[in-house]
Amino acid sequence: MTHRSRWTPLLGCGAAVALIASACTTDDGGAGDDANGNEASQENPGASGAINGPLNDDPTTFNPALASSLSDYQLARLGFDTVLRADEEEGVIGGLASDFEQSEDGVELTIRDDAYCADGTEITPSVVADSLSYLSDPDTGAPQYAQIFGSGDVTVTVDDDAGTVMVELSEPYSEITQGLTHPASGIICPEGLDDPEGVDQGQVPAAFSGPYSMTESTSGVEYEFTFNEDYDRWPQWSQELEGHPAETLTFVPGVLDTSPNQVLTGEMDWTPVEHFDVDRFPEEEWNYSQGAVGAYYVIFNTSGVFSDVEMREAAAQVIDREAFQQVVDPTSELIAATADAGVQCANTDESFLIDQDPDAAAELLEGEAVNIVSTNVIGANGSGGEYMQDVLASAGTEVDLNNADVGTWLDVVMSPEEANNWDMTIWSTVNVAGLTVNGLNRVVGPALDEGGTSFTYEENTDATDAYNQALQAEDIDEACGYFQEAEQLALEDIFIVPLTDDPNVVVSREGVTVEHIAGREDLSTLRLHD
Amino acid sequence: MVEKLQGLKGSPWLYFLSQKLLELIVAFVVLVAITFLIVLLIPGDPARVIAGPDASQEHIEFTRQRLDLDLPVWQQFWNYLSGIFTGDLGQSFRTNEEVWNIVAIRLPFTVTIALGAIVVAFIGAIILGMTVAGLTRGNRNRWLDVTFSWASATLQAFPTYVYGAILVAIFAVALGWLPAGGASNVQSYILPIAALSFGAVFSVARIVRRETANVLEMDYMRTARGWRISRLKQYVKYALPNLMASTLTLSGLIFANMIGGAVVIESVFAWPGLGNGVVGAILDRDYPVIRGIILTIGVFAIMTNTMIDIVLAAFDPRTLTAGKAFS
Repeated sequence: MTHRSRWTPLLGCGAAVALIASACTTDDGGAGDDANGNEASQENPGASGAINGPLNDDPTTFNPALASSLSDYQLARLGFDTVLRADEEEGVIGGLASDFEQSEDGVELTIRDDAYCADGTEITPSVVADSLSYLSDPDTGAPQYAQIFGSGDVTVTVDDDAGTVMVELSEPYSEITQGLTHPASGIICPEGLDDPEGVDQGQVPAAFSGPYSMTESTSGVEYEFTFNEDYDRWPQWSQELEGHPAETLTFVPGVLDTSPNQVLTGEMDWTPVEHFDVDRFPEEEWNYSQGAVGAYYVIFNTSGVFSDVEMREAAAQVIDREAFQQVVDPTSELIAATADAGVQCANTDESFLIDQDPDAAAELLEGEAVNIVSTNVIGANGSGGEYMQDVLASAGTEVDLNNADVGTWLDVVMSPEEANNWDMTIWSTVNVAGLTVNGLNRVVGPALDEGGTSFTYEENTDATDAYNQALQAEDIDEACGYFQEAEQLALEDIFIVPLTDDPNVVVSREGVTVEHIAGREDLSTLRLHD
Repeated sequence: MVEKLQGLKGSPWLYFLSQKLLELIVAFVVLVAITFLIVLLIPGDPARVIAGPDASQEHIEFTRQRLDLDLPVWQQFWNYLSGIFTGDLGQSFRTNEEVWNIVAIRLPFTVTIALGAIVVAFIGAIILGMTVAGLTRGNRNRWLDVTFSWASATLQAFPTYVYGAILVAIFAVALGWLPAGGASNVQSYILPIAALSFGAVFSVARIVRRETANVLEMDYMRTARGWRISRLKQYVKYALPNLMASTLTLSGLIFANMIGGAVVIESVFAWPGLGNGVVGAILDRDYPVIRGIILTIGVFAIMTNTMIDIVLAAFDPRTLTAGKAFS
């Protein structure tokens, strides 16, 4: 691992001044030229060239088991293969596991026999089992444990002769296979498990099991990933990927405000774009890929003014979902429950939604005081929260809007002691594995003050029963039926008002593509087209 | 050695330097206290933010203990204080990286554009200010004097991010000549330095013009003109040295402000310096990084101001006893 000299910029100073004085201009491009200009590697006939793009921010860790931010997930997907992968048509397909069988007890994985770590170590069933045991060990403190394994304990057993790994769950969790597609469940190779802190800092090259290894990192500046020689076990996705992987992927953190400009000037090859930047990239000249990060929906706190279902109905009657969509992000898609269309079991039946009727709503809402807590990342400068404030105020409500930054907003909504300080919020999910429980668990089951995850502060017994039945289902089809029932019951009791998905639109220059697989961005699909 | 020290006894320099040292110590103590306390005013629970929205209550408590946020405030302050004196600013809550390492990576980027900007501002201001002063000497070209006063007052008041956005729109997006952001190559330095220096050029140029106008009316300059010495030589050899004290002082103060002002311009250009780092750290409630960066910027500002005082005293020994006269 190499590090750029920290005093290099000072050398640039003199040169920069000289360039200003000589009215210097650049050549045709920056990194974009690198992407085109690099010669194909002799060692890696399948991978050549370089692709340069942005990251939300610095990753918090390079250890997939400890991943908790979008950047962590994005990079974990490159460096660490998961046993299962999501697919647009098949739902869940094999990754490091060639086959899998789900049961009430958990899932049995048949591990493929042609997989190797970055240092050439064979990825055997024992290697997979050790990594999953580390992930599920409470001492590891994996933030995504519940999303991957559900709420119970995990026992991992291995049968090397049969080539299988059994993941047993003490509490039923029907989304276990979807959970094992989560990038945070990426398999860490043996040398990494011997030095988890080293993996955390990205300093164990032999820990990588995925298509790329991190070869250079300077926090705040740049992360470089290099294609692992001979890697060819790409998932058998139903959508065929054209082009070839790049030998080098470079990521610059914290530049999302400038990266659209940098793509236009050729400094970068791809970038996520906000809706207001879309017009700058005509579809005939640029490649587009769209999916979602999660979903937006209103959650009512039933411990205050919205304890009465009629009040919740009145609030729902003043919300125009299409207007919200136009205000927040016109590229988004409307949703019908707590998840976007990319989530396997998402309810799509709109008949459970409340029709608009502002006049009827005003009769109930007039004079009532409502505290909205929202975050300024929902729409430009928090326009999502402002929309809610506006429509409720139009119905005669005295609205107090706390349009806070993410940290403050989370603190208010997720602290049981703050339960009396807000009445409604726009919840925003980050659902990288397309799980139905992610989102639905905020409106069913016990409330936060009872050790649960629900923000509604009133347990909807019927919806919770359906949710629990969904978790106990033996296969995903059965689970989907119960999940959708739980969502519909939550809609009937108006604990939520579905709004839109949280879109993720990625633009790339000609000759570079990146795909959303099953509605989720997957940077391992970055491809160059010669 | 002893004789030398005895010789310094009663010296205005000894008094001046000991006074500056005392001021330095007081300022540092206040800075340390402020950097510790100010982050506690930021709303939101850092453990909850670091653990993420999907974290369970157990994981949030686990995170709180890992980050020592469960300790009493006095104990957290003691850990911070003892860390500073042992050269340990702690680890980032978010990435577990040593704060010193984060500062060491980011500081050169900030210092580079601030230094580059002050050099550009200094040179640009001297050329502009002296030219205007020369052309308007003795109430000639009155229109230029008025135009310069009005334009420079207006242009120095523009926030740096306005210049940044305009420069990106023209030179990066419209013309494609320069990078729009990041620090990937030497060209990347041009627009941030230009944006940061633009307003400063006019601030310093106003002082240079005024000082030059005064110097040009002095007897020795009249004599120089009478001797038919070339105009370039008059300005460079005789006028310029007399402008340096006030110009350097102002430039030093502007430099200290630029380090702080880089917070905004670094966001405009996605520049990987201290400013961008502290903004991200505030949003992430990354207390050690916020403290480390603000402490660094504060120490930089204190040291710069002290250096300016010392340089000024060297130029003008009357300032050595100025404080004493008031005491």
